[in-house]
Amino acid sequence: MIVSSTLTPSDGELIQLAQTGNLSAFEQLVQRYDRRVLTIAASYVHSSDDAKDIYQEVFLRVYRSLGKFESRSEFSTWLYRITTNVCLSHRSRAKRHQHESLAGETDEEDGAYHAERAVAERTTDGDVHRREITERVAGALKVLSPRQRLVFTLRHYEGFKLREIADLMNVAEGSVKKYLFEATTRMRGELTDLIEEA
Amino acid sequence: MERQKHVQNELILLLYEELDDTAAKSVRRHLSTCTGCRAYFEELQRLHRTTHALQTSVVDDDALLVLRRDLMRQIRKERPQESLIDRLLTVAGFGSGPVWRPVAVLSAVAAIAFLAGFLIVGGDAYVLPGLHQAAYDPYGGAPSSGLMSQDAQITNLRIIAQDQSSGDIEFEFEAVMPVYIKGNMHDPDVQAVLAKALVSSQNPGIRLRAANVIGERSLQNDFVDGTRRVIKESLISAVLYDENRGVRLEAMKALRDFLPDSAATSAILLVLKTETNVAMKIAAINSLDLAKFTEAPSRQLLLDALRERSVLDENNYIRIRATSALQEVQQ
Repeated sequence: MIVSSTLTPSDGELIQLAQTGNLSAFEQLVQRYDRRVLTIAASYVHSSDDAKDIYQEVFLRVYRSLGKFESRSEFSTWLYRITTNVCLSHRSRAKRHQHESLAGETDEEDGAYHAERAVAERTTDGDVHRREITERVAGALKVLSPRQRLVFTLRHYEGFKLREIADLMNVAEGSVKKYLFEATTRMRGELTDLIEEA
Repeated sequence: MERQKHVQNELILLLYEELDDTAAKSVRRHLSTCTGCRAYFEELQRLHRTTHALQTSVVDDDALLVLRRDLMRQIRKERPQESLIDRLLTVAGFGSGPVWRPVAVLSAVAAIAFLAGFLIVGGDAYVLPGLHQAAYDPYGGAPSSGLMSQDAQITNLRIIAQDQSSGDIEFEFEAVMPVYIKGNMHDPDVQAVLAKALVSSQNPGIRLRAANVIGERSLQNDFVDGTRRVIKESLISAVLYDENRGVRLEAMKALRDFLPDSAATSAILLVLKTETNVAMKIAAINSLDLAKFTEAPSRQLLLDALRERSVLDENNYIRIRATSALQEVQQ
């Protein structure tokens, strides 16, 4: 007979249950971490649709690979590692659309979606200036290479330490530092006028 | 030039607090004497503030719930068809270790067969007449005699290995049999089984019946405190994620008895906001027992949702229904 427990199960307990096919346990794991995954995705791609695609892809990969997870590392580390891999390999819907259309038309979405966010921006009608800054910053981030952008996003917006990012991306910490230096320098170049105003 | 680049990189690391104490002190000492580097560092700080303007936002809870629902639906579709025994083990909360497997199988069969019988026959009577003739007594009967009982249904028999000379054989099959258990709806274990069935059963009929029984018992305030939370979470999960609309509807009716609990309210309001099916939206409005919403912030949430539907919903009837509910709640 099932005995209910009022204690919060650990990640390890939930994983063990999920590995036996218990969907409810898997769902609890999703609920525990998906906000962070969506935030990372949204910071990285700046498109609501793309962030949602990444979210789905990450958790589907996690679900499909659950059987291989051996608890040698923390579940969260494994999850965020998958998230970074999916981010790096992700092709935005806008680019896919552009590629598939083969019409050579300028994809308006590409410019417009900078402002679109997987997160709800709490802007007021009068906050036009702030919106402009947001769009400029999002535009500057798009100039970075995927790896530079990922490192910048994880360090600057998500607060991961460089050592942790190196672990997630499976590269040396020195490489992560290099990406951060390059990203910062390029961002500075892109946003010179805004920095002077600030 | 190289030296300048090196110092600039150190300043970036200082900004992100990635230097150890000694290095940080050394860089700060340099900053106090070098105007050029100080200017560069101040520029970095401004860049830091400016780029953070992008992150003054929060993940939209509604979007997150919709994403979870879509994900779980997708996963349910992908889920491999497990053997019944494995499913029983899973639902009964057993691991799949070899030592426990035989015991677990029998216990799981007993528990789930009881549940299936209970849900199919009906939850009104604690003694289930239809199951009086059950051949397997989970507390006393020998496993082999239980499995060989005339009521057991054996399917999907698969021979794994067979030694013709010694006669040894290894095989697996799926077995379902009726089990008679006398229980009480006040028993937290029985309640937990119902909650589990609502979210775990592969059979929509069982999930539907579980939601229905939970609704009936909830009305009579039958759930003890510890189980009440589990039941509520199972209902919310069913309302948001179940792929079967009938189950979602029944779960929503049962969830009504938990209002104005904030999580229950949010779940129903989310249905009202994001569901495309009109019947579900109407059920969501009907589920909101307006008299219960006397306190903020639940009341405010309700007002906002109804106001939005009364203006934005594409369906005329929903707009009218939301307007009239809005007037009712504002009186």
